[in-house]
Amino acid sequence: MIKINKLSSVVLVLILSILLAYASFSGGTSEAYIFPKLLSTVMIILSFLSLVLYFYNKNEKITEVDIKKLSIYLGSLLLFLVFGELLGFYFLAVLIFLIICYVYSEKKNKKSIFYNFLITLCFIIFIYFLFAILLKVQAPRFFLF
Amino acid sequence: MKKLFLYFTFILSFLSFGSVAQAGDYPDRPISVTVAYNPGGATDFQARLVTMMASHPKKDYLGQPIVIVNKPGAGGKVGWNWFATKARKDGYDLAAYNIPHFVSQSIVFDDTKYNIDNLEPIANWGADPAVLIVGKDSPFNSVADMVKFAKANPGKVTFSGAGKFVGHHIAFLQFQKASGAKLTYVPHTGGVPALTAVKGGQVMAGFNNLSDAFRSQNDIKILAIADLQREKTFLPNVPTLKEEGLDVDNSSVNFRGIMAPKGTPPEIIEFLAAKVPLMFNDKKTLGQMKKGGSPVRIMNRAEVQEMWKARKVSLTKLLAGLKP
Amino acid sequence: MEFLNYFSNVFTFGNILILILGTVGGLLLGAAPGLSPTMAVALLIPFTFKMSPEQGLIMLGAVYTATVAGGAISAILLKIPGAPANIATVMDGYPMAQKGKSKEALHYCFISSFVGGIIGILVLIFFTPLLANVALKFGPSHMFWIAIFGVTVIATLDSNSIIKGLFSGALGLWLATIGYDSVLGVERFVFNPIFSGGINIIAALVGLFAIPQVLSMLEKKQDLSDQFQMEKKSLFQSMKYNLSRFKALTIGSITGVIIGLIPGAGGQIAGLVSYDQIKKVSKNKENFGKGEPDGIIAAESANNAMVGPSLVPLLTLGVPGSPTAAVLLGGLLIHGMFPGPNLFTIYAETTWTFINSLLVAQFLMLIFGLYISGLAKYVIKTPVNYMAAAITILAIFGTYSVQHNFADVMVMLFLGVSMFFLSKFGFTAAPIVLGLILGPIAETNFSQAKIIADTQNGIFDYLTIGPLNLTIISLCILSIIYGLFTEIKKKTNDKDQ
Repeated sequence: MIKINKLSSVVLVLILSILLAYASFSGGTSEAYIFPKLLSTVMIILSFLSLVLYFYNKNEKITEVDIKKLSIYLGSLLLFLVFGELLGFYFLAVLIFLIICYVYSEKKNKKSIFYNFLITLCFIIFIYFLFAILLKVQAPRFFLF
Repeated sequence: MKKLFLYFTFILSFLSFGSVAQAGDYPDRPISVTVAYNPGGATDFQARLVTMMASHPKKDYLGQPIVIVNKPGAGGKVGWNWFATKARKDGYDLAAYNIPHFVSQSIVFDDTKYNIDNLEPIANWGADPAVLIVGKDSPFNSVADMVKFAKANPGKVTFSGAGKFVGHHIAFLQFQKASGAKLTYVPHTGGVPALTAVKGGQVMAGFNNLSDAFRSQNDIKILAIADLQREKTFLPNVPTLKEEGLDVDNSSVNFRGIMAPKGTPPEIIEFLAAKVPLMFNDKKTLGQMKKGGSPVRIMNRAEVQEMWKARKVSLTKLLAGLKP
Repeated sequence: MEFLNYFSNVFTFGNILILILGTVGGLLLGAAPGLSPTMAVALLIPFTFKMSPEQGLIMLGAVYTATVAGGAISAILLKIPGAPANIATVMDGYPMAQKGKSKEALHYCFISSFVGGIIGILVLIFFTPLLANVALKFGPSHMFWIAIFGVTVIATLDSNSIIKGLFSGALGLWLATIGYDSVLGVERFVFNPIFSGGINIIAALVGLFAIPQVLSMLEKKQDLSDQFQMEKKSLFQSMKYNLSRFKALTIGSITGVIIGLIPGAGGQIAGLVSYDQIKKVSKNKENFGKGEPDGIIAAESANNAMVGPSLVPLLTLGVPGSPTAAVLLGGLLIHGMFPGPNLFTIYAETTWTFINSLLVAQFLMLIFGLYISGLAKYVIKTPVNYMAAAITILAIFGTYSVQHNFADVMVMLFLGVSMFFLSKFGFTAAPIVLGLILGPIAETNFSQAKIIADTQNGIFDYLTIGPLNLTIISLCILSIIYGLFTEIKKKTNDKDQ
């Protein structure tokens, strides 16, 4: 569980705009940097404004992120990022679909696992038909598929 | 559970149609041609036209369809950078080239990963010269009018074109040098927006593709053509810049064709170099190209290699001292 | 009334079949997250090779119309706009669906799309010669201000605080500068090679909307079906209510028509601007964002009213009014038909058949759209785990197919996960996406304006002189001031309570 309060959001905005401003102003003297410089200046002004407003109006609202619950989903995205081109899209799509369906389902009995497989199969065939056959998209493949 | 998964993988592998490529029976699956420009642009639609006969069952061209893949961005840099570094060297990844664009970019920019040495031409299908255009209501009626005005008002005459270091920009640079007047170039994101800017009077003049300008003669005047000879079929009455007394050659003519990455097996390149020009020469393809107002110039691999080298020399000379 | 002569051409067996296939296919493609209208039309162009010019154009036209409306389906049901144009539909469509009124919301969406679409195409039929040159009046300075206007509208609309909204808009504009400068060709801010092509708009749209939505679905684990009863309202009742919302329909259609005529930025902001208008004139402002039907009606009628007029500059000048129209131009060219007066003389038969078929496509879209609305309950009832997996896989494949680039998928997932955390800090995705979409338009036109202005009286004069410039600038300022005013009023109201 990560907890987020209002001050941290103001600080985040400030840090973000300073970072982007640094990137824009250290980029070079080329004309191509005029527009980013303009934008990051606007962003710095806005973030200072929000800092000032924070001290005027301090009603704390705390939001939470249930990072533990989401970790498996985020992990499977990472899996795709790292192995996407290596193992092929279709193979990983099957794998990720199965993982997400299994981990985030309410009931975990034999019958629901069977359904997971069935739905995964149907969905991947649908995806293959839509992208590979209909729209002629050549996704990365691994060995056989 | 494990068993089930294995079984399942087995079924899926049967369902998929991919297979390991073997030398000798090339091509046995669709070939992709990367176009470094947006769908709908001149290069894109010509590439689609000239490759549509690839899999025709009655003709002995490639026997497999060609799929166009668009990777647009930064005047072609994104697509060609990808092609030179990431494309598979098995003959299934080909790309469309635009001369002088990619040669001049490889000379001027440090961050381009492509040049004529790591790409292999297959064949050329078209050549589109740049023409000098002004709006319909423009006070300029000839090149002489414009040069006179530009000399009296240095930097005031604005020119549109399809981006930096593309054919239009090369023509502009040559024109500026030959006329001795100071001019201003306004790069646009494509030929169509550049043409629109001339029509709407946002810029005073422009260089654009002959084929596009030819069709817009209701809204613009075509003053000259940046080539060695006049264009006889489409614009017989428009003089070349040379005839107007300006030393502008054909370096800016936009050649379009198909290339492969270096490292593609020689027998595959030979196969393509033999078949692709035949495919370009198909009667149906030529008919469609003519209907589309696209000037065709088919050249074989040897001729294109020659042309690439010649362009590299002339563009290096022209662009010397122009690094951004 | 020349167009009436060619009406019978539409009703051949082949043409009607293509129309139906195009409409149904377009609705479904549009509804899939990650497949935008622009892409659907681009991917279908190769199919038109084998057809006659007429049939090819009919199919592209039907797909164009239907995908624009189809994008609203996922906007309403899943909070994921199918295309940038549907961002405004999310704001009231999704809250309505959460209240169990998904079917009703979809009815409003398709009925308003139909009304707007018909009006837009009638404008195309009757006013093309009159409006042909409007697109040429917009130079770099005007296009720059229109892009900025789009960002200010969304920044003041979809956010609890204007400062956060404007900040998000500026962030989006800044992110759009990553990659090559489109005018000078200089590479900027490529911290990692995956950014070398810049941030693709579709990758951003999918990432910023779909991935955070999946994450919050999994986090809350809300099986919508258990939470509420589906509310039943008959088609007749929705139709009666929809048509009685005369003000919303009018504002939506007129805004759509005007914005469709402006080249470039057009289609993306039509829905947003009209949503903004109706919210300002409405008597029950506080209902907006909580499921007010007027919001959907105005946004969707504008989206489809934009389709017809965006073809006016395309057919007469070859200047596309929206990104999809740009792709449609390619479809015309392939069949040897070039924009200009020839289209209405030599090719009159094909052109008028095409325009008439767009009119027929609106009716088909209405019929099939209303039918699909009835099936919406199955989408809502799908268990969260299947939904999450399916959206993720579709998002990945959809993003990849835009330009066959794995880097786009990486950018999409990276932006998506970041956006989920940013949303916890109180930011919303819409201003960032709009910034990303309008960024290249703003920057390219700014750079061009600067080059041209340097030959005249300087950039400041160039950007601020002229009635058209001043009009758009005052619109920008008005929308910021109005936004600030409502925010302050709301804050003081909250304190009083």
